[in-house]
Amino acid sequence: MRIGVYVCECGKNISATVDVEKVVDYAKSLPNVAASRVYKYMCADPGQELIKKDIEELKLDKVIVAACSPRMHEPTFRAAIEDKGLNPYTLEIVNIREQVSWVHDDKKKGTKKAKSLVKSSVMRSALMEPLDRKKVGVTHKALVIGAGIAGIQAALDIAGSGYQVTLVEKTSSIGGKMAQLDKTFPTLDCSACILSPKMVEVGRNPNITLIANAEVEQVDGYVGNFKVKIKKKPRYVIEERCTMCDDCVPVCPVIVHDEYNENLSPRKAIYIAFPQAIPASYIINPDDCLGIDPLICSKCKDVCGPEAIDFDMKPEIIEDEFGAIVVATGFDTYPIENLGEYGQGNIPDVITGLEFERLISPGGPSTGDLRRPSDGKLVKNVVFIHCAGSRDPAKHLPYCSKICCMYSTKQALMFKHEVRDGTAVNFYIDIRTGGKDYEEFYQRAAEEAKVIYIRGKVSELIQDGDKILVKGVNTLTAETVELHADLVVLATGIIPSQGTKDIASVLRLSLGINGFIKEAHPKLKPVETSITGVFVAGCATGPKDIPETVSQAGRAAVRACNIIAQDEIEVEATIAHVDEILCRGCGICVGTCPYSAITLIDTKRFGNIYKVASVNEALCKGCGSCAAACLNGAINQFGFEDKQILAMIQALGEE
Amino acid sequence: MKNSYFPGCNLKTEAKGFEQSAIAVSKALDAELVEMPEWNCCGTVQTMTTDNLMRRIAPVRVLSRASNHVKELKNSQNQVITLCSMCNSTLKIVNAEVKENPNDLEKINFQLENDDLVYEGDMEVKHFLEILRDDVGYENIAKKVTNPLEGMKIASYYGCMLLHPEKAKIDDEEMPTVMESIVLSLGAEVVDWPYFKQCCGSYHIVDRDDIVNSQVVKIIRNAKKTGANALIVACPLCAYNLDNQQVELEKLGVEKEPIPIFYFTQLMAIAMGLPQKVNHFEDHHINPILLLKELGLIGKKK
Repeated sequence: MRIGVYVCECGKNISATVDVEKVVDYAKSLPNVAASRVYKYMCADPGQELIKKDIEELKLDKVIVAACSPRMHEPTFRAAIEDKGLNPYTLEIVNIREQVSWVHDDKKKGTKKAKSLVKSSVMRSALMEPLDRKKVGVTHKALVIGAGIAGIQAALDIAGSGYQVTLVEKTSSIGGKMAQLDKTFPTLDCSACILSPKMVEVGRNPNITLIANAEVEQVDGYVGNFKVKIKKKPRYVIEERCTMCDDCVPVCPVIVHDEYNENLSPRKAIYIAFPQAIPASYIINPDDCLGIDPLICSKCKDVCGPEAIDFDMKPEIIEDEFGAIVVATGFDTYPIENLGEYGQGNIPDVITGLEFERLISPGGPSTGDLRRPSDGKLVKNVVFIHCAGSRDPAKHLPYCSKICCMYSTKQALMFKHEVRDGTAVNFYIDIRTGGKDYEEFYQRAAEEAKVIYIRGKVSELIQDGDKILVKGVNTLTAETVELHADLVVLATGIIPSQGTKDIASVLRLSLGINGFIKEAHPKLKPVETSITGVFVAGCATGPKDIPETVSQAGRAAVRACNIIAQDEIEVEATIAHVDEILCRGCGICVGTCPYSAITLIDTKRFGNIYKVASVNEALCKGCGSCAAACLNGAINQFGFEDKQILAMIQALGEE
Repeated sequence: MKNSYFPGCNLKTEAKGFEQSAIAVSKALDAELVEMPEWNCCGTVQTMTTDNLMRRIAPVRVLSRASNHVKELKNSQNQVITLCSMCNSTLKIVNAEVKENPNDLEKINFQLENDDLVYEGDMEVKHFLEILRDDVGYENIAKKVTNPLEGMKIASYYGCMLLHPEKAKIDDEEMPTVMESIVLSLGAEVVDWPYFKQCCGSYHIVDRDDIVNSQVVKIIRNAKKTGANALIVACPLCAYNLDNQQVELEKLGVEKEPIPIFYFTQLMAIAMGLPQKVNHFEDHHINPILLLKELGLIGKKK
């Protein structure tokens, strides 16, 4: 046994708090250590060469690197020692940066802690055994969940690389929130005009299988081999036959709120979400319809020329396998009902930003004339309230929703273009224009279009006759402001959508403190998740504007292609294994495993049948929960055997 | 069930009707308010916005005496009940502060040595509205109603102190329901109005009654606009400003037809058929009896 110990200075990151020379000297005194060296940047090429040279010349068979977190450079050093013929699992990383130098000030104590950690790793290293990585095949097909702009872009990019991709959408049409917007900042392009070509392309691309009105119910398996169950709800209209003639709509007797128009207009129980909807087919909502089973009305079927309506459709479970998954389940807006200070949704002319988009849209409920919801009067003056529910850790969301400054500015500008003699007032906390051409856009609104900006929050909205009394403060002049408005638009913040929460629980993805899906690394792995092979794009990880969402979708697509382009991939070797002699079949591990990787199987011993635990090697993620839970010590994890961990504890205890 | 009750200065002078009706109502509902002995000012005349501990001695003395009173009452909960929302706010805030900062409490207790008092931080401060909501329950109030307040359209006025700040609030600050729920259980109609917590002008009545007038006009006009024929309040200062200044506004020719201001306990006493003298309507500036007679709620032959 010949162990090499390499201590990194990491510039001053480590050496300022840890006396690295002392650690090196100390390591030399430990059993089995054949070499101990220090270098300024171990991860740099010369650092790696140092290790490689020693392996060759000193015939090392184990390597310990005392440096930063293994999350940073474990792959680097594993590759380096593998290069010289050592098994990558004989590498041990001692984290003396994040766990020592960055969290301590006292150099004496830091050095002492670093020494003990190195010692415990030397003890463990002696007991480490080479492990084999298993290879598994890959399904050359990707799944994209959610078909807003993020999902659409990801699917198009994967399809564009020549791979098959299935796009699953919960609602009846793809397009998501972007399809509801009238215009987009900072160029004021019509949202539908730039989105619909992409939507059409999704419908046309032979590599894309679109499953709308469907939800992902279950995901099993692992990177390269996800087994997915998709529940497709019945549409009651045969997509291929529907000619979009609209004959069914006038005869339908049921009138309900139109969700696409944010419930500001009516629709029928048989409907199409919006004219550009993809799939281009009508749909019957069974919750709205007078009755499908038993059938009560059937007026739509009677008038349907192409016989597209089929009341006998049943929910369908589609099972398929995918190599990689992109989650693009988007956002919802903070509910107006939570905003007591702004009337809790009880004042009809206090609306959300999305409602404003529909009201001012030519395709919206008032065909483009900005008429207010309460009495249909044309609007002369509007107040926009930024940060409605955002940046308010005491009562609402603690974070900045990022896009509200710009969308309120856009809406104020659109209003001024529509109503030339109207007044638009924006109450803001700070104007955040962190995007290309955003500041210029804001300047244009404030200076050319004379949109009024008041720095301060609105404390209260009160219905006062047919106007709304807006009470606020101007924090630049330290004056209270009271003014009357015809319409108040709340820039409600962005929250994770229900779909995002649902899919996170189906996939067991980690969530951040605000309920958005957590990235594997906030800077360097922004579309990767805690699960290998599952990627995320768009507002599912937090508030984003359209350009950022589209770029993220592109990266998520590339990362998905990285996997599905391969014939086989290696899976982690540090997985759980069962000692069948010690196992008593109690099943505690089965319930403990978060990945459903353990089952109880029958085994024959001394002529009797016993139940014992069995680990599915492909499903096991090596989290170690079962090994910790097992009462008999029958489960161990490769690379983290009990004897290794006990040796470390013993070494630390001797200090 | 007996509760230790802290009156505060106004309840013995301007707001006798509030105190006596509340005590009568509390007896009828088996949640009797028993006045604590040797009480002093709640402390609100000294501002609580500074962190000077001197200013917290008065409220802590009240809390420690209330604690002793609760022990004398036996089977009483460790809570002191207030009627004035200003007292409620002051006592609640100071109570929370000294519970959070034991060192401060120790210093204040040192000052109480001459009185042989020590406050252990063992009390809760409650407004009588909280007792009605949490201990009595609206259903039990409704059961005692013998004279439902039919025809009364009531705007519940909370003012600022019942709902702010966070440490002292008794209900949701944006959508409170406690007074409305009591109004409903008395058989009256609830008026939904947005000015329920608009400031009444508070102590400005002492030297700037123009500020108070401008607030009162807004509040009263909005109440009338939303169809209210009476206001209920839970604070003697709000009551004085809304009551007296309506008369002043009428003299100034600004606003006619004043509407009566009731303490919520006065209406409870009427609905529960308690003797009318507890209400001390003679202290009101706008005669509330006119409305009650008009609606046939008093003076009926039984």
